[in-house]
Amino acid sequence: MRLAKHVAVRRFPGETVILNLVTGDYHGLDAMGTAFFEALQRNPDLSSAVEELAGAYDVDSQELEKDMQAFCGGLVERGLIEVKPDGVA
Amino acid sequence: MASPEPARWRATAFGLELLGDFEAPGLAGRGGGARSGPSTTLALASPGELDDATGAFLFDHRFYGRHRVSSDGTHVVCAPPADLPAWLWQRFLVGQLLPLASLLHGHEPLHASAVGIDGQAVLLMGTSGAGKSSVALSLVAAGARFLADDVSALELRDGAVLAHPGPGLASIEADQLARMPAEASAGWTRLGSHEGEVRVSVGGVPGEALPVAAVYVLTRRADIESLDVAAPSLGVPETLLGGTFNAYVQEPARLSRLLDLSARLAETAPVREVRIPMSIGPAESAEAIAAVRREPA
Repeated sequence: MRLAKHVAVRRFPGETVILNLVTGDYHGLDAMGTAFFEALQRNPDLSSAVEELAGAYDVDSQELEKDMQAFCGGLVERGLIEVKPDGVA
Repeated sequence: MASPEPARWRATAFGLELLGDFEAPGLAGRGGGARSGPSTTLALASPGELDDATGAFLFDHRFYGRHRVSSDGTHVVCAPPADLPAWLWQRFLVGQLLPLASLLHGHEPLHASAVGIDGQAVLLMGTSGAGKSSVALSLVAAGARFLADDVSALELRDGAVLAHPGPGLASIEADQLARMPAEASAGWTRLGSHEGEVRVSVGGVPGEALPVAAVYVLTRRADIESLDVAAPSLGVPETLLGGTFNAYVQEPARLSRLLDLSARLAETAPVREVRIPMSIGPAESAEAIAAVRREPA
């Protein structure tokens, strides 16, 4: 996942805030959103991130993948991440 | 015979060294600690002299007059109405113009009163009417040191969030002031009153910034009977980011600085909501906050 250049990210206890420096809007991620976000930053693609979290939280990977795809879609919609040409965030 | 030139004065407030040459009750000469902060000069002018506001922030207030702050915060020029006493129009100088100058110099103004307890700053946030001023002054009456009323200038320095002292001026409802312990409030200088609010100058303001040790968000509630301290209902990030005193300076560098400072503050100081029933006054609220401060971490 590649953060957009106009974005700043900071951790708060238990949450993450993403600041869009162009619009001045702040976006908050709760604990689960933070876990998704950090897994996506650590891994080269969505599949790897899903695999990591499914193992860590012992959850169904198909459901998790849907949730993470929706999460990525939300970040793209808000202009916070950039999507590679092959569609992988 | 020409009037004598007004004496130039210096003061320290909001992390700024102020230089002025007009009557400024309670402000002129305030502070005087180590003069290493950035400087802001203050001057009077006629309204017409402020017509050119290119690159500056211009304020046209129907009651307080016309004022201009330079884009870098180094110059503040004021054209107050001639019939307003100095202490009264300077509520706008202290309450709006100097916090903007402080922001333009790199500090972050938070909508909070502040007191110093045991060498650390305690910030009191809350909407207008929540009791920030009266609780702060109640804490001062109980032995805390007065830092700031309504706006606190914060700075992230070497990993610590510091609160700079304000000018030692506060506005408090007359009936609240009347209930303050006489032995404490007798030392406060009353500058004037307007629409039921008294402007006071409070001594003993620290000469330097203090590290922030706690943030309390005061909320007055009609649906509770006893005072309660809990996590802030809005969440910590929204409480701190949304509590900025200035929402209109939106340059990316400033927004990043606000985010950095808020994140660090959340890491280093507990942020708690103090829910106060309508039946409890500022003195009891102050006692409760002091008690929470004394609890082991």
